[in-house]
Amino acid sequence: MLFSSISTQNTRAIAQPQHIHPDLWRGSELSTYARPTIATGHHTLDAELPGSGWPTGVLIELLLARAGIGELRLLRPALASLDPLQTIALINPPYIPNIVCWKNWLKAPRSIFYVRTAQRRDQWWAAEQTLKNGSCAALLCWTDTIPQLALKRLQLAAQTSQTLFVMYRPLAVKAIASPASLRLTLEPDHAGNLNISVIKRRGSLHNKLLCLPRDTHNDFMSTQDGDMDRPAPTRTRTLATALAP
Amino acid sequence: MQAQQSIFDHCAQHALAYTPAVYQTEPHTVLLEVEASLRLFGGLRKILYNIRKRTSTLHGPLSTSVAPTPTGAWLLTNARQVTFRYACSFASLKRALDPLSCLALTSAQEHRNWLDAIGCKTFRDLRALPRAGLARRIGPALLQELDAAYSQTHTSLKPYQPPSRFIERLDLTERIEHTVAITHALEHMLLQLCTWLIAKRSALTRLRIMLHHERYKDSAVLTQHDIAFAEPVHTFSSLALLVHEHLERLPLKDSVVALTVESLDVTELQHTAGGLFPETLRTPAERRKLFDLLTSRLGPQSLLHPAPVADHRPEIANSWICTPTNHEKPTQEDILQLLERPFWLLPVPLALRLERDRPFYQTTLELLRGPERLECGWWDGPSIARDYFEARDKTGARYWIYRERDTDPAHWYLHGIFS
Repeated sequence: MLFSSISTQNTRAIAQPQHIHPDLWRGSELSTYARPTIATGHHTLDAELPGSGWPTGVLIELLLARAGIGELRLLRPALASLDPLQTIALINPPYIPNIVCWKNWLKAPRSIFYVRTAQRRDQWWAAEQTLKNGSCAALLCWTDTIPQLALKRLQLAAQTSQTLFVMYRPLAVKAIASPASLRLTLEPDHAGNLNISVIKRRGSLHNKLLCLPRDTHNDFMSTQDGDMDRPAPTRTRTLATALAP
Repeated sequence: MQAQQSIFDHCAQHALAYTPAVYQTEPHTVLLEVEASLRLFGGLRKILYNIRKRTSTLHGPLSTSVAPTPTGAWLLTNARQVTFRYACSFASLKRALDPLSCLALTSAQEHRNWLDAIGCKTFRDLRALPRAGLARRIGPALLQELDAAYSQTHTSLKPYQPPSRFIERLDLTERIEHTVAITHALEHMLLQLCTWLIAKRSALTRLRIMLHHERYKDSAVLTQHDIAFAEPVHTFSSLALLVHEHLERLPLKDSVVALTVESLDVTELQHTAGGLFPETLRTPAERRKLFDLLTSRLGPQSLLHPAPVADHRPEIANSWICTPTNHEKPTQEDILQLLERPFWLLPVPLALRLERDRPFYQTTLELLRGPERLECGWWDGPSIARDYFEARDKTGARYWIYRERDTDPAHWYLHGIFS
């Protein structure tokens, strides 16, 4: 009787290795996170991520060739669902964030701030301090080159917090190993859709390309594409030219 | 004498962390009434250990003792040869005091010769003498003092008041030429400062650090650095971190021979009420701490907060400032929320060239939407007259571009990037 009970215990542990240790998972399945995850708002993407959403308290890397391809649109539902009392921090964004757009996106008034650093070392330092402080719900960090040691430090700092920590890095570092728990590459196609591939996650390898269609519900003001797709007027029409015979 | 007073102050201030009833007696003895605090701080042993540990790291070993009466505790602390200093009951206090020299009592000093002559040396001898006869011979003062040492009687004690301002100078044993070494040297004083803050039940809002340089012919003798905190600090860890970041940026003019730390402004310590979800409650204070820390290293210009302005000109509406505002001004949200705006704005609009009559940025741009006409600001300049379009390039990125309306031929500019 005693033996049989032990053997069932063992099979259960092997079937669900997270009972042995929360950081164990089967290579053929998706792992889960001990911390809460935030739904991405895109069902196809949710299905491919461990814990069905963006994990908090880990380093997430998004690799992209350049800014403006929809890298923030991807995070928008997740950012909008965060606790409105908490702050969102941006470190070294590529351009100036537009407050109006930010307000339109998130609906609720919330505080955001952004940090510009002159030296490269300072941006890692600022990110680490923000994570350790723990008062920010999300931290978005843009960086071009960062040493492995700094990445590891940031991953460890992230683990002490509940922050949604996303780091935007150039597409060129795709082949270089990283301590991040989740790595996605983002590439736009000609129609403005965003192609996402998961290159690192806790679980089985992912080979498919996920396609995130561009927003359509915001395009209510747009005119027909055919109308607009004509050479732009090079001369402004003035009264004088309009009245000219 | 001043150094001794400073050690005494520090010990008394540290003691105030454990009990509000701290008294001072001569010569430089601090008395603490700890009975009511025993449970909170985990027992007598723990309190004693903490006090001894903290004070001995700063000033070397100090004598401590425990007794049920203040006079008894004072006698045990100041006695030279004593079997044990920790007496928790009246019986053990009696055992501890009995073999001590009775001349330790201040009123016994006057009758020193007489006591010597009758062979009365210890407290045991003194207590063996008939009380009535003793009172008649040398007056009631000695008996009163004896009673105060052995049993619970009313004794008037002078409560300790921490000084109203903290100012401490440390003369260094060697010349310091690196800011890192200064931070190490400062640690000791910051620890004292935090003790003082706890004793005062205050938090620090402004701090002055002075670095004294060696006196030369023309060089400055003093570097003065004031640090203001947005969020009042009272813990050593946060204070040390902030001071460290400030000093790292401070250029050292000359080698330093002495340091002075001075508290400029303090406020009453705000105790935040505990809540069911403490994380959300303490967020604003934690956030201000983060802002303090970031600006202390990166400079005030590098941390930017939104300060939207109700204006149609995008570059004016989207203004960011260095100091956070608690209450945002009402903007024309109803109007602005209808419009789709790009997430990123360029600091300065980028002039685009034309290729086959189309604006060109990396690839030829295709107009998707527009025009949205903005004509604004002729009354307070800079006046703008622009037609904004949303455009897409060959790789799928979307841009916010505009055409200047007053120019001929038209000039195109890139102003924003949709994400």
